[in-house]
Amino acid sequence: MKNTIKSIGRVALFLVILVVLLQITNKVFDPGYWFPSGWIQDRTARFAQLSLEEEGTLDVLNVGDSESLSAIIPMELWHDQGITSFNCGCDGMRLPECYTTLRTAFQKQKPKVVLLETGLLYRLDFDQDYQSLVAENIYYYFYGLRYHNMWKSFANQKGVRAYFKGYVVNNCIGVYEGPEDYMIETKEADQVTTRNKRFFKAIMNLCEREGVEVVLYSVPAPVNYNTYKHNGIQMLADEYGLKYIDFNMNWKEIGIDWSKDSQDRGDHLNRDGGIKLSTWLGNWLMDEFDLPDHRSDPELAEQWDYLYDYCEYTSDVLKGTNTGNVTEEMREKLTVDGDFRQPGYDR
Amino acid sequence: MGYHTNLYLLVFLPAVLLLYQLTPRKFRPYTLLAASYAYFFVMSRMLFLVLAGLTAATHWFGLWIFSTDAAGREALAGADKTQKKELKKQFQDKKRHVLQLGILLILAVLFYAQYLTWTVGNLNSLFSVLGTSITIPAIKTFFPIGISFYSMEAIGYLADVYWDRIPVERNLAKLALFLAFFPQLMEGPIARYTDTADQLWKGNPLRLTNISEGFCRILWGLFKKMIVADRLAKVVDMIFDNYRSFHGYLIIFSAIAYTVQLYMEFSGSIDIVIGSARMFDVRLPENFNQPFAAESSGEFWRRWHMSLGTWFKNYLFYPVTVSKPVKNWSKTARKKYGKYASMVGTSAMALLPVWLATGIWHGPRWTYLFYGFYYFVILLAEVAISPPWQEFAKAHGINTDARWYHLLLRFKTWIVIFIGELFFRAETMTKALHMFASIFRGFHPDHTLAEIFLNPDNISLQAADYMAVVAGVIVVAVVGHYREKGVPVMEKIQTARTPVRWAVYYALIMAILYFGAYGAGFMPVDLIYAGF
Repeated sequence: MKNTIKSIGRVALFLVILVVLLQITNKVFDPGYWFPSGWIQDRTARFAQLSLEEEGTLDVLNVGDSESLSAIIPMELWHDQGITSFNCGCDGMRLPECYTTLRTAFQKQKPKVVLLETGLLYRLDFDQDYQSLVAENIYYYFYGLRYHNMWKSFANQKGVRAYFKGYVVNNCIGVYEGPEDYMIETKEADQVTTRNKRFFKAIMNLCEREGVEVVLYSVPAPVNYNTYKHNGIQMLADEYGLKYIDFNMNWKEIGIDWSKDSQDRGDHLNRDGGIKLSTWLGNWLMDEFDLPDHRSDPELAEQWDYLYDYCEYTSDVLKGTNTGNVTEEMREKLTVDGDFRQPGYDR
Repeated sequence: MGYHTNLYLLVFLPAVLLLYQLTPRKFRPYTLLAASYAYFFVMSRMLFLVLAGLTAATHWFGLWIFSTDAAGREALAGADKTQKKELKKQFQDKKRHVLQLGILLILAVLFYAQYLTWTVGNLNSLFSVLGTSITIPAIKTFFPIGISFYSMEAIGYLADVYWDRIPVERNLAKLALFLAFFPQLMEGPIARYTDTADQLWKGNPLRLTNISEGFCRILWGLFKKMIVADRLAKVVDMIFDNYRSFHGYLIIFSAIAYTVQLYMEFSGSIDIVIGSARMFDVRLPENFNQPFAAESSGEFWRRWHMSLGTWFKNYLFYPVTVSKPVKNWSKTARKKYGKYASMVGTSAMALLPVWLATGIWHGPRWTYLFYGFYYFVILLAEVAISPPWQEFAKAHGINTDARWYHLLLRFKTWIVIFIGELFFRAETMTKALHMFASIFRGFHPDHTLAEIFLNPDNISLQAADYMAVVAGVIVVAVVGHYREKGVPVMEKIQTARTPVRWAVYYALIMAILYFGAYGAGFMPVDLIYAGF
């Protein structure tokens, strides 16, 4: 018995020291504390930037996978309606990651609306979901681990990616040549799985506790969406009494031109497509919610107007080109204080 | 839920350890058995029934062999002198037929799961080439995890019972645990019944020394896999997926990179497996022994995937060597052609089935078969060349004990290994041959490795990733160097004072957590050998 207690004590001490070490490295890898936050250049970059946003300044959070990142342009929402928003999703986002992102965001932000792109709901991988669940819980307490790749920026030759409240400029054009009437008429539904509903419920409970309204939306993406999914998501939206905008149903109304507005043949929107969607969405948000217009706030306007202008400038420099092929001239124009602000793309 | 995942390391393994310790001693083996089947279910769902069925069949055949033997002994005891020889032969034959039937059944299941689709595909191609209209329809098969591993353990068990090396196991649960023990399921090591069965059944309580030793071993395995192997996976995949775009030294680089990736990943996974088992006070056989210190291909295979080599040695090589046809041939050849020719011929006859089997064991691919045949040729060449070379070296005063000589042998062995792994990794012979031929053409000296591999358009690895790989390889090489010198590194860590031991643990943990290839920018990398 004495030996058992001694053994448990030793294990406990080992774990306590480990936790202390991890808390120390938390501070070292805290974005902006020791290393510049611009050193975080990968999938966690938006998460890091979100944590550095001034407290209580964001009214709308846009969360989801890469679809959400290209479809909604916070700069346009700001410019047209003075809405402060942030794209805090990431490529291939899993539902547990969505939960942690929001839980972390709510520590400093009190948004009125969370826009949740529905691609997450159909991500199916038992192993990855539960890996993600375990990992996200660890990252929540030991956030340094989320940014553990930051040290690689010591030798980084890629330059610093330019993010505009989580948006990355992409002017690629990949013409979608498939059928325009891809949303066929059917009452059949591709239901969201029980496991994903469980994760979604946790997200809903979290948002409810924070007094945040969730809006489901599906970006116009012929290669990813169909009426079966639409019906399945509508059922979920009805179950929770949520507003659901399926842009696959009204892409004509918002003016999407498949010959110009897609990056990659009907998967993700490019900047032109994003502007159209964001313009429509901004109007809709102002009609549906009592969102403040912050353009008259001098402090916010100074930062956000600057970013809007720089986003426009970046887009102009890259106009008509595949942003993967940055010429020397473009590189020169996009270098700020010796850092090449690479426009980047997310895949 | 691979052995390297947080789900296994932080949820499953701790849960099983806790459950095991809370279970009364006599039921602990059943806890392990239940946990093993639960693990199997997570990985392969209802296909656990295949494992259960194979176990039951192995158990039954083992009992049948034993009862045939027992019946034979009884019959012999009561027989008179004239009948004994005939009776003995009868029962030997029957016993052998039972063994053959048992092995055939296990191989049939393995064939159905692993090789049927490939065989049908190749037959259909052959029929097409011959101009016939015959087409065998595709048959739906299943692939339960680890079938290559526990099938071999099952065959080994039956063979050992047949040869009276071990008594038959009457306890089905004990045999089931031997075959299903969850750390070994996906990647081995392939154990003999005597290696682990009794250890597994003891139900010893958890002890801090075992947990500590196992923990250290797991950390070492994760270090190798996550810092080196998973990084190299990206660049290796990039080259092999776009093989037509690369030539010359870039192909050489890819062969070396894959070899290092494979070693780090497989040996790292085995470290995790052995570490997991150690926590339950079970010592699994080692699978690697500094393979890159080998000075010949034969020696390499005595240091690489040792449990596979041992299995083939015990259950294929020796039986073939001592079989009547081979022995008769050897005798005749010695008289006719001399000792040397007889030795080479016998080696060829024994090595060929072993190496073809080794190749095809890895899976249904022509490149694996080629890989096996490649090593057959190399090993036979070593057997054939060694005696005349020793004489030549002696006659010409070549100092075979000199350091430079040993380094040369090692370098020669590395070249053989790298070429072999190039073929092993390529999915098809066309790709493999193209890549091999590309080594000798299309050199572009104006493009450095850095320009190719640090170009962000080509690959997502950064300079820092390569630094991490080099640092990781150096650490592993240094540890391997000391182990080769006979320094028991792991044991020294375990017996060091607590602050020193914990410092090593913390260093490994922090290295894995902060330099590991996981999270943003990295896709999870599946265990390579779990696919065999």
